[in-house]
Amino acid sequence: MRQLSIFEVAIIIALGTAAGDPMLSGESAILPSVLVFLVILLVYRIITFFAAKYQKIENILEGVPMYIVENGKFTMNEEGDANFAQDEFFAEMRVQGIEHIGQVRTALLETNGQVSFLFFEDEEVKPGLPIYPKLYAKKSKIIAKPGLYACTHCAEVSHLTQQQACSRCKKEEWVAAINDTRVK
Amino acid sequence: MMASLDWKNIFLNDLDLTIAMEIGLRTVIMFALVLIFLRSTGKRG
Repeated sequence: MRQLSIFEVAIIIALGTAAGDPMLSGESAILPSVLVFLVILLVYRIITFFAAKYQKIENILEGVPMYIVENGKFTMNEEGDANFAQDEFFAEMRVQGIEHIGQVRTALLETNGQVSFLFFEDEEVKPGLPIYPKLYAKKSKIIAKPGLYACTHCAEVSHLTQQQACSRCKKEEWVAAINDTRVK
Repeated sequence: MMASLDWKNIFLNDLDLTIAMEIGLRTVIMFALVLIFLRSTGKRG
């Protein structure tokens, strides 16, 4: 049966003291700890059984996969989700050999915290938000020269000639968009 | 040396059926609380 990831952490926490107490303390006997192990195993089996049977229960326990990038832009529905840290996600993308978000057709945050990517073919790659630090650090509200700029917040790309807010998310910081294809 | 070890104390101490049931109940409750807490942090994996 598939592992429910959140349980691994919960079980480690729960078994940690149950195993450690009889090691250290003369007050704690071993059989009660064995009992705790067995009860946790039983609860785990029961919950995984029902999670496998009913999708709803699995969704409550595990959450559902979340779209982060669609069509070379960040999705907007996850707005305000404090758990979605942009720099962490940039790091995840860089590890996957992605240079800018215009290369990514879809990115999906899986329930186990991993990110799945689907890419554009080279001829479909569009100008996008660069995610390597040297380029990204040049983000600014001031548009020095006309050109394609990517919104640092939602990755929307617009042709800008002057300072303005993003038409999609109303934020004002931009980075010059790049259009490189993926080198495989 | 080994003879002086109290094996009953090491394995059982004062465990009886009532205490065993109480441990079972405590385990279920605490495990559920740990799960709820972990879930509410929103952290994945």
